[in-house]
Amino acid sequence: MTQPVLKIRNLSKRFPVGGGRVVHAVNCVDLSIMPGETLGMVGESGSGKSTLGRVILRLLEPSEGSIEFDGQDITQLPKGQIRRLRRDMQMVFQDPWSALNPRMRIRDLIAEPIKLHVDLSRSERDDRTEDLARRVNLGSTYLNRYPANLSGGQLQRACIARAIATDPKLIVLDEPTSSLDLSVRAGILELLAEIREETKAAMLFISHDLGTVRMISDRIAVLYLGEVVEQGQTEALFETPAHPYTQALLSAHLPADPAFKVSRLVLEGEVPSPIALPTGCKFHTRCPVAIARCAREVPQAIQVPSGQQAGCLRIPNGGNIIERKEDV
Amino acid sequence: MSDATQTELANANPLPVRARVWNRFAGIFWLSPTGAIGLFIILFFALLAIFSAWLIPHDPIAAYTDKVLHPPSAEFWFGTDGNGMDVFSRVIYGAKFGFGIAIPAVILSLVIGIPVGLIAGYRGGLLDEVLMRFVDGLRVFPSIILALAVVAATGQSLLNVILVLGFLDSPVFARVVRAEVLGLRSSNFVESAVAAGNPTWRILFVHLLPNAIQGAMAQTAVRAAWAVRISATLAFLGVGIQAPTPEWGAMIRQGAEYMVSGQWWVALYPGLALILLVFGLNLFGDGLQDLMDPRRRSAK
Repeated sequence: MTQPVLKIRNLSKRFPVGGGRVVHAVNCVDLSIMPGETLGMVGESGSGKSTLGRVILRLLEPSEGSIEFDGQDITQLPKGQIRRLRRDMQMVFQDPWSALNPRMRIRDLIAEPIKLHVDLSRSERDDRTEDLARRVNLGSTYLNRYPANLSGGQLQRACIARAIATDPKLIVLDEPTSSLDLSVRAGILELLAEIREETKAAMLFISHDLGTVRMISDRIAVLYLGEVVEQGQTEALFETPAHPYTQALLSAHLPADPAFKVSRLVLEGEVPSPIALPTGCKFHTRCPVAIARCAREVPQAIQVPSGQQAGCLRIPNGGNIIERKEDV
Repeated sequence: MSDATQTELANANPLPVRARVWNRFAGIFWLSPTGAIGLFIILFFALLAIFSAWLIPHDPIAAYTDKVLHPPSAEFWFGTDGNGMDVFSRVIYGAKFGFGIAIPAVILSLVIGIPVGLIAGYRGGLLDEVLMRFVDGLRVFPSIILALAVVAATGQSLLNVILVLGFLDSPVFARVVRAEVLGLRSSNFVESAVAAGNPTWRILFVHLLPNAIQGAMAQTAVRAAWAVRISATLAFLGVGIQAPTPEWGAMIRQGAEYMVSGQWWVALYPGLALILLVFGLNLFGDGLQDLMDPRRRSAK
C-alpha cells in the first residue's frame, strides 16, 4: 500500500488574543491525503479552513499534533529544512491580486520557485517558464508584464504556474476561485483538473463553495469550528450526508436544476465564538437533532454504512438524519 | 478567456518601461514646479563641481600674498580672502565638497538604515525593540553636537566627516523603511514568497525592499541637504575640514573674522552658495516626496 503524501494527526492551532483568551482555530484534526488525490475541505468562513491549510505547510506553527509529509514528520522540522521541502509543497492563494509581488515581472514570479529549488541554467529556466505559461494558458506576451497589468484570471493562472513549477507532491489551494468572476472560475477549475491529471500532484482544495468542491474533489472533509465533522468519498458524502451539519450545509447549496424541489434546513443562531467553544459536540448549540448527551460528550468519528466517517453521537440509532420540511 | 480579449488586454499598456520612467521624471515638473526649480539648482551646482577645473580662473589654494583682502574686481570677481586666495575660484571648487560629502554620506545612511529597517520591521519582536531603541538613542542627541563630538574624537578628516554623518543619519531611513515593512510583512505576496520557499534574505531584499523603498528614496534629497548643512557647520566650527581647504563652511569661518572690519565678500559668497545649494536640495526633496507619496499628491 502506498503511503499518504500528507498525514496529520490531532492537529490544533490556537491563537492567543490577549486577556488570556485563546482562539481555537483548528481543533484535533486528523486527515490524510494519498498521492494524486484531491481532498476538498469545506466549511463556513471562520471554520479554520485557511488556518489549517497554512499550518499543514508550516506557514503557521501548529500548537499541537503532528504533520507527516511524504513519510517524514515535519512538525518540528527547523525552518531551513522546511524551506527546502517547499519544493514539494506549494500553495495557491485566494486573492491573486495581492498574492504576487507587484514589483516583479510575471516571468520572474513564475520562475522563482525553479530558481530557488532547481539547479537549472538561465536558458533552461526560461524555457521551463515559457512551458509553464503555455501550460496554464497564459499568453507569453504577459510574461514581461507586471501583475498590475493582468486580469484576475490571468493572475491566478500565473499563481498556478508558480505553484506547479517545481512539480510539487502537494498543492494547497486556498479558495483559488472564490475571488474570481464566475466566467473565469470555470476556466481555472478546468485547468486545475487537467493539471491534477497530468502532474499527479495531491491537492488540498479549500473552499466554501460546495459546487466547486464537488467538481474537483475525490474526497471531502467538512470543517465546523476547526473540527472535521465528516469526511468521505465525494459522492457518498453528497448523496447521504451523515452529520447533521453536513446535511444543513448541503441543503443550503442550490442545485443546478431549477425544477429540483428545494427543501432547506436553515440553521438557527450564529456560529459560536472560537474563543469559547461549546462543550461536548461543538455543533450541539445549533443542531436540530441534538439531545442532552451532545452537550456533554465529545463524539468520536465513526464509519457510516455509505462509507464516510462522521462524528455524531446520534448515528448509531439513526437519530442523525434531520427530517426535512418541504418548502412552499 | 478568448484570444481576442487576451491580445486586447496585452495592448492596453503599450508604454515601454523606459518611457514610463521618463514620464515619471517629467511628472515632477508638472506636479511640483518648486521641485523642478530645486532640481535646476542642484544641477547647476553639480555642473560647477564636475567642471570646476575648467571654470576656475585661479588655483583655489594659490595665495597671492601681495593681493590680500582685495574687494571684488575684474581680476578677482568675488575678491580675495585673508590669504590672498581667489574667493570666486574657491566658491566654485567648494561645490565639490558639498557633493563629495553629501552623496557618500547619504549612500552610507541608506546602506546602514535600509537593512536595519527591513530586519526590524520583518522580524518584529525583541529584535525590533532593540534596534529601534538604539535608533531612537541616536536621535535624541542633537545631531550637530553628536557629530561634533564624534568627529573631534575620531580625528579630523574628510572621510571621518562622511562616516559620522552617514552613520548619524541612518536612523531616518531605518524608521521610514521599517514603517513600510510593518505594513507589508503580513501581506499576501510576502506569505506567498515564504510558501514558495524563499530564504529570509530574499524576502527582505527581493520582495520587501522594492516595495518599501519609496519613502526612503523620497527622503534622500532632504537628507543630502542636511549633510551639506552639517558638514559646513562642522567646518565652520573648525572640526573636520580645515582651512585653507576650499570648503564653504571653512571659508565662512575665515570670512566671519573680516565681517566686522568691512571685508564682507570673504564670507558672503560661500554663504550664498551654501544657502542656495541647501535650498535647492530641500525644494527638490519636497517635490520628490510629493511625487512619491500619493497622499501628499492628492492633497494638493
